[in-house]
Amino acid sequence: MKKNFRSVKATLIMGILLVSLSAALVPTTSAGILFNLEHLVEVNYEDITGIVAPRGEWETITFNLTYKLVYGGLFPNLARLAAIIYAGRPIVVKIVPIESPDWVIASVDQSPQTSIQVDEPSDLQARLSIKVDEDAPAYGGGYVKLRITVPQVGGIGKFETEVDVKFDPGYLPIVQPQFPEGEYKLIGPMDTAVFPIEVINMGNARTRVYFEIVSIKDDWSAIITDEIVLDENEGSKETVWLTIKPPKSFGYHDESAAIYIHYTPEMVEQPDYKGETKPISLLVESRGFSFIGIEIIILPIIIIVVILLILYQFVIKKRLRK
Amino acid sequence: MEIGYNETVYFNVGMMDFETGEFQKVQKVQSFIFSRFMNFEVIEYPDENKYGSWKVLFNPTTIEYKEGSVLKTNVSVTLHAPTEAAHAIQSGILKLGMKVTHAYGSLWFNRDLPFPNSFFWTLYAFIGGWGRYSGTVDEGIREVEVLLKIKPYHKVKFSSVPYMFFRPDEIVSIPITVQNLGNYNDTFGFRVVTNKDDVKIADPISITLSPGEIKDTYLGVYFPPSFLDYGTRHDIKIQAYSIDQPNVTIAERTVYLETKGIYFSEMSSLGIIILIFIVLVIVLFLIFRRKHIMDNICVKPDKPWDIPEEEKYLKKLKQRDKQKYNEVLEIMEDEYKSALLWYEYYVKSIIQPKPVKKEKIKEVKKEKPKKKEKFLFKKEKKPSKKKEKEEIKIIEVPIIEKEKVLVDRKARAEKIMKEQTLLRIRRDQENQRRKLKKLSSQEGG
Repeated sequence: MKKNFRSVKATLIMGILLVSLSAALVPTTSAGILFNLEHLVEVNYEDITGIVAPRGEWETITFNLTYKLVYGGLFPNLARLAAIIYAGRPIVVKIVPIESPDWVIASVDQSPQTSIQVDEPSDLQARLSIKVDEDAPAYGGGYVKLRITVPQVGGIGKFETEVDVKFDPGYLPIVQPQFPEGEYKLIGPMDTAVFPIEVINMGNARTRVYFEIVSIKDDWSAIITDEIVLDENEGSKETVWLTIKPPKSFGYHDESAAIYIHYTPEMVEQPDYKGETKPISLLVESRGFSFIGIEIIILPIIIIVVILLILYQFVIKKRLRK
Repeated sequence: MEIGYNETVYFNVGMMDFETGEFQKVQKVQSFIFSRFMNFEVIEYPDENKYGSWKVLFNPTTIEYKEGSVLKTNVSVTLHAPTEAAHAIQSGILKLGMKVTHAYGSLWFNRDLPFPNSFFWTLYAFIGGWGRYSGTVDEGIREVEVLLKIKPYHKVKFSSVPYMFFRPDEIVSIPITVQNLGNYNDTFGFRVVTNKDDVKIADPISITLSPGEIKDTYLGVYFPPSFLDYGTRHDIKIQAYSIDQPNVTIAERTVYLETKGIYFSEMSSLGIIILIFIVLVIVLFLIFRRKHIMDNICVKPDKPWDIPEEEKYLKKLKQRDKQKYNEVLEIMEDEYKSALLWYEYYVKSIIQPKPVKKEKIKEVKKEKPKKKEKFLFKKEKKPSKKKEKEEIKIIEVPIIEKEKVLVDRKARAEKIMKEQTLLRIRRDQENQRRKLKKLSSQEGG
């Protein structure tokens, strides 16, 4: 009886030991005692140092990947042997964009493929293409978060990592001038023509717009608001005032003049980034009689008239005496 | 460290060797390490980078643990001004992460250690349990916090001011809209620059704005009085500055204004009134003078219906016979018109007399005496008459004397008066005749 109990006890203990040992020794995805095998991918890339132009071409970033099969264990040779078993098996290094702003379109050309090599790292390449919408805020901190995954293969554990690719969207210098009161005015020579010009920001950054009068007819004078600042919000607008004065010398006038203006957008935060200078032309016609300067002649006229009247009286008197 | 809008700061981040105080340099790669490398990433931005204002770059992004490699990377942190001024970026902590990836070889044995250390390593690998991580990949992140102090950004934006028209001698308050584009609450002062001394300007008052806030400040202007202003343009430049930096102008705007119109001050009104008065006096003087001259030439004919006797007669006639009354009145009006025409013609003729035509007076012809007979040729003597003295016959040609223009205006006026009186008397007589006729016809009937 005692012997049987002892033998049962020994059997139980051995059994438990064996099960535990097997659980510890047999390689699984978690750390095992005998050996472990895992994928490893080392990622090298460079952030885009330049800018990505909105509505522009695709920008490409090249990822240099180094794939290695990591093995190790209590018996290194056993681990190596286990790795050799998997040698030659194809694997795919999946690269997937998982997060980016709404105005970014990101796509990976092709997930690179390789086969498992023991003690030989595999150099791979992948290309990430990025395109930016016109909504992208200029220098607004663009980024694409990528997840790089190598799935589990047999006893080789899964590998996963994330990388952030950063870039700056470029500046889109688009402003649209509008003329609520038209581009033509008819005024008198003693009047002043005032044109409001509404400027709308169609770009993606806070923009300063400079205005300059390029040419105007002689004797006409014009002034315009030097500069305005438009907020980044799409559709933000400001009004610029162009004022034109025609020649106003005494007499009748019937003349017209075309006024040419240039405007140049510029990013407020980065004054080096300017848009193209574009022209605006407006027409003003001056028609009518100008009384400016009449005070110079009217007083002498009055004096002359009075003198003539007095002389006339003397003449009449003289004739009557005759 | 300190950073401002649109600025970039550079610094190094890596594994520090606390003994030397410098970044670690890999001396030797342990034999139990299969592979090891370090990546860098941003764990947390100061404001969660909601508006994309931060850009953090690492160079290099990955450092492999090789012999001689220095475990550090260059970090560049750029701060862009936010797209909306209200989303101001203020100081905060930038948390960077250094992600170290270990790929372990065989952790059970450490060939770098001599015996008996290597034996104890293996023993501890069993006891500690880390041996079972052989052949695995492990990632660990170490965090680095960088305190970033955002420099105050002083920026303000003026909205455009429309071209405005005013009258001379007017005081106006022009609203100027201002927005704070900076990143802190800021107080802005204003300076006014103008080259016109006659225009009096009150500088806009200082205002305090939070980031993105928009408010109006007011520019007070007094335009000088000017009697007649056809249109004078005034350029007024306003400069804004932060009270933290009073010598730095952060924004500028030129306001264009025009004065136009007539202004009557008390003095000029008085002057104008005096001038008008003088002109009126002269004109009245000339009118009355002319009238006086005209009256001296000839008195204007009276209106017949205003003469007292005629007036009385017309009154009675109107009561008696309306139709007759109208007829008589019409006759009187015609007569008056005719008298006026004559009067005007007469006065005109006096003022502008017609040139007098001088007619040649014919010469007086003398009859020539006869020639005496010559002695040799005797002729029969005719009975001689007693020769009378020959008379020089003067053939008189009638001299037409032109009527001389009467200079005596008084006499002429009297003559006209007489004529008018005669006319009136004749008219009365005519009326009486008519009355008598009527009476007689009535009696006869």
